[in-house]
Amino acid sequence: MLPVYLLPLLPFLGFLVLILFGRRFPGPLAGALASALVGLAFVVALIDFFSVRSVPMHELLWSWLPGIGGKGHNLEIGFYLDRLSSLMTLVVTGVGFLIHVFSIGYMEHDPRFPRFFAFLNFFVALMLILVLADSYPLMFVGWEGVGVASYLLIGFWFEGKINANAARKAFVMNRIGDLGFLLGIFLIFRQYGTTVLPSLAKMPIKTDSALELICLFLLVGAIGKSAQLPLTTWLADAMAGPTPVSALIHAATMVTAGVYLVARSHFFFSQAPVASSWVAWVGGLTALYGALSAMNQYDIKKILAYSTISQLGYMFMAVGVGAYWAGMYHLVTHAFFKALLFLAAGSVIHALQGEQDTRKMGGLAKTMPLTGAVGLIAVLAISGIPPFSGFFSKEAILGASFAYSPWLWAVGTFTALLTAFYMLRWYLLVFSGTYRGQAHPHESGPVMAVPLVALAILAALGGVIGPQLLGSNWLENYLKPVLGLPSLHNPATTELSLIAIAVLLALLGFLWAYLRYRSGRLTDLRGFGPISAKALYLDDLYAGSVASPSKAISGALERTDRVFGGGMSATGEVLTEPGRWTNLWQSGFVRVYALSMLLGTLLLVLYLAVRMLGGSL
Amino acid sequence: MPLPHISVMLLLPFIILLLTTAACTALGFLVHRQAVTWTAMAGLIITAASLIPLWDRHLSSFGGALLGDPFGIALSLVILLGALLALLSSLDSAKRSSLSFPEYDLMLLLGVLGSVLLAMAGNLIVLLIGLEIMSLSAYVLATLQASRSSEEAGMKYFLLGAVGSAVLIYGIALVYGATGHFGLSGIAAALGHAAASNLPVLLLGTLMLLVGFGFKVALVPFHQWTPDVYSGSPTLVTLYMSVVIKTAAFAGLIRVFQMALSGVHGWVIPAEVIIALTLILGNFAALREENFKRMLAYSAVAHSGYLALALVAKSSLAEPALIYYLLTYTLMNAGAFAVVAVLQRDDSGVTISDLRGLYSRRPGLAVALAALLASLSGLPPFAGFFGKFVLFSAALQSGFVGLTVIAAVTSMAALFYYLRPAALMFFSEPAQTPQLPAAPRQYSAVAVWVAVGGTLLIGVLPNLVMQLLQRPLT
Repeated sequence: MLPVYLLPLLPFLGFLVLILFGRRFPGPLAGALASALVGLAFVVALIDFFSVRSVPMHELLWSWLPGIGGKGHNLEIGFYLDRLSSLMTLVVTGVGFLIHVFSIGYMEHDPRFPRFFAFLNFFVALMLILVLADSYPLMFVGWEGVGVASYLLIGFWFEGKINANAARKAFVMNRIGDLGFLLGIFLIFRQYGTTVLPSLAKMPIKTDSALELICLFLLVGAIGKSAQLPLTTWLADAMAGPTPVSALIHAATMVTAGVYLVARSHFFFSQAPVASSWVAWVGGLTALYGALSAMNQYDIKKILAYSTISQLGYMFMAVGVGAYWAGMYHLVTHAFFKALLFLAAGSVIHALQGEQDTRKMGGLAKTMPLTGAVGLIAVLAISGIPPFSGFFSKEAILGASFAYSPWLWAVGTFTALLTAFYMLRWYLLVFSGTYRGQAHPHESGPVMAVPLVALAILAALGGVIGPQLLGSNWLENYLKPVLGLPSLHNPATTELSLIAIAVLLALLGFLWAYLRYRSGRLTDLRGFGPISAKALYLDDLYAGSVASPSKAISGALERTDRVFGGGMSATGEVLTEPGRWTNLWQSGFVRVYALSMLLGTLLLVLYLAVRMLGGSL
Repeated sequence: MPLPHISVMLLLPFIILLLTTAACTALGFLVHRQAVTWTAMAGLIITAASLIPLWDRHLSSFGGALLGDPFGIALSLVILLGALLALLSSLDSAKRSSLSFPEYDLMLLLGVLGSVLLAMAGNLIVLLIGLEIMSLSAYVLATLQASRSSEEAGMKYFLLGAVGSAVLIYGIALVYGATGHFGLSGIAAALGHAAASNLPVLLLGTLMLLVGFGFKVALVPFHQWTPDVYSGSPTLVTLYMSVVIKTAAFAGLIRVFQMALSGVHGWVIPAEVIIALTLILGNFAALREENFKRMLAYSAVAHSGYLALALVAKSSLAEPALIYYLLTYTLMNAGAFAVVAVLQRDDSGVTISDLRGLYSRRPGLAVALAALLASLSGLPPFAGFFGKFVLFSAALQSGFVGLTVIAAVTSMAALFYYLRPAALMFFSEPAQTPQLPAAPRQYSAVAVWVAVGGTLLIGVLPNLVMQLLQRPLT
């Protein structure tokens, strides 16, 4: 049993060393140091994982603002490691470590190599603070911190204006979500007098409208971070960052923070049926939206980005219908196969010297056999083909959502069909057929191959932690002491037929993609094609409904401003006018200053005289 | 005749400071100036080390004329820290301000001697001696540079300082006349059975003391020297004045009013008015200021307003809050002025538009300055936030609701003038790339990062300091 604070501390030390003395580390040394520290954190997480099975660890580090909320209400900084957060720390440090190692190869020619690893370590540290926080305010610190890390890493190649704009877009959209999260925290404190998670979990929480409101506010926060509808468009643009960043932040860990927030707050959500149904339906619709948008993309990473949005939708469905464990289950398996997909894409992009357009790829399975093989495993996993990991976690979600509402199940199952289609399309465009580009693709060195193989094993076999074919399973039982209530279960026959339907539909999706591939119409979806390519026009909708009017308003204001002879700046002048008076008084002449001092003294003496004459002395 | 009561332990810091000054004077003839500065810094560190064993021992010497209570020791340590930072950043910046001669270090050491004496004074005469040693050395420092603006600043400071000192001495005389005591504890004891006819004299003396100290710490309307002297003096001297002299003057002010005169009631309402004026005027005047150095001078006036909340609050709450804030303030201001000293072309400082796009040219300095400005404006997790928090809550818990509201509202206005330069550094392109001096600056960089690290450390872990201070102080 090791102290919990070591977990965020180790990568944070890496960040400090690399940001301050980055230039002192020649060659791949900076990457090795960063990876080693995250690897050490993984070891700590593993040791603690085995020790918290019996008792959760609650470390109070210090109390920052004693008595801020009245007597006995301290703002304390502490870490809370229970079975839920322990699972998350394993994912963050484990997958994080593999992606760090991969990045050593991927970023080797970058002139800002140490800085990249500094930011990556910073991200892992803040993500661990988010996961381990024992109270909502501290969780918010991590929440904002990973947002900053994401901003820095999306814009890492800041020379391009597109990248800088993508970073800004992610930043602004996340602020909307953060406002919701903050309001939620304020309301929690107002209602329950504390924001400490373990204390809240022990409280009897009654269903009422205030609780529903709290949960809806938290949902707004979760939507922003996890790119759910309607705050979803930033994630596709975030792909401007280096590919390992997309794998770590925008697939495996940060974007799942919203799911974690809902699962962590299960004691609220399980008593808030209205808010929970919002969670479930936001998730379901986003899953569908993401899948539809992914169908006709050409950028190798954009397809994966929309598929991430879609898979996050599944997780929201799960936590919305009360199957918190299933949400966490899919979070874990998704971290494996989606990180693998992104790293495979990274391997391809690296081999093709930065090419990302799938129309200029093809046939890469021959020249890059390893990448092709692991890519296929990941495609099978995400499409829900047994016995790959995604199959089990998706079944758990679909089963629970069927028990909640058959309509929701229908949306999820239809999305599964689309998922199989666009993922096989992705694979066929990249790896199959003949090469359509000009580069000379080749497999990369072992530093990139080893993480791919490790993740491929996890993506293939990771499902063993919780197969829910019949009744209970290991993961659900493991998380039960934290998440409490049993989730919804279907009768065995229903369960089996649901599984059969989903697998059949996935195979149908594969068949659909393969037939189109055979007839050479894989990149041509006719009427629906452009709609999907533009991501259902959501960006254009925002440009039209929010950006254009605000531009128009600001333009009109500017004209009004000019018409009224600079009315706005005049207001500013008036507001800072007292500043000008004091500057007049501040004439620079000693005699004026001395006079002010003496006048001040005189006024004090006069005050004394008046009081004496008034007899109050 | 009995021998005077002397505690050698308590005299040791002063002896070390004096010996250091003497050694530096002699060394000034023999070695390079930098060697003198290193000697001076070593002397300051030894002095600090000699203060630490005195903590909690409540020694006093010369019949209570010199007090080694935690309040005095803590503020002496803050003074020594400020002086160390001033010397450290002078190691490279002094050359460019043509201040690189031993007299700078000597005057500074003498000023520190006076400041420490003031912080530990238990008697109005000792207090006055400390104050005058400190002030006279400050007048000299202000004029030390051979430039018109430096001479003007020193002259103004001296003339107005003479007025301030005159009022202060008059106040001491009146208080002595009313109570028959110079010792702070003696005055407090005499207040209990003072004759009613003495009260007007006592109150007049108290108000005079308020004026005199009001000048030294820059409270409105006795503050007008501050912007002129701060912006006219060489930046390194401004750094020293804004931290060391302010800390020492506040030590004297709070000592006299909390320890000796808290039993007199008539001065609280005038003090409240003065504090409110300081808060409003200091913050609003800074809004219009385009010269960054001068803006920091107004910000120093505004901070005097925050610090002076400790004057009216209950002493058990006020003293820890004051010490914490002065420590924070020393770090923030020393850091900010050290950055100005690095960036400036001459000692008129830098304008706010000079800071445009600083991040692209000097990322390290820009980040450090932004952190210091955020701390000055009172944003968490920097110490400036927690300092304001404890000061404001001390005033609030002592029942000064109106004053606390004014302090909170004006500190919101302050956000604007602190964060505007911070934003300009990051988000705007340099208009026409101003030529920055390319002189070596590694010592200044150390001073700046010590300041940033310190504000961050005691901002995140305020209990490091507060645990030491929560003990009964007097």
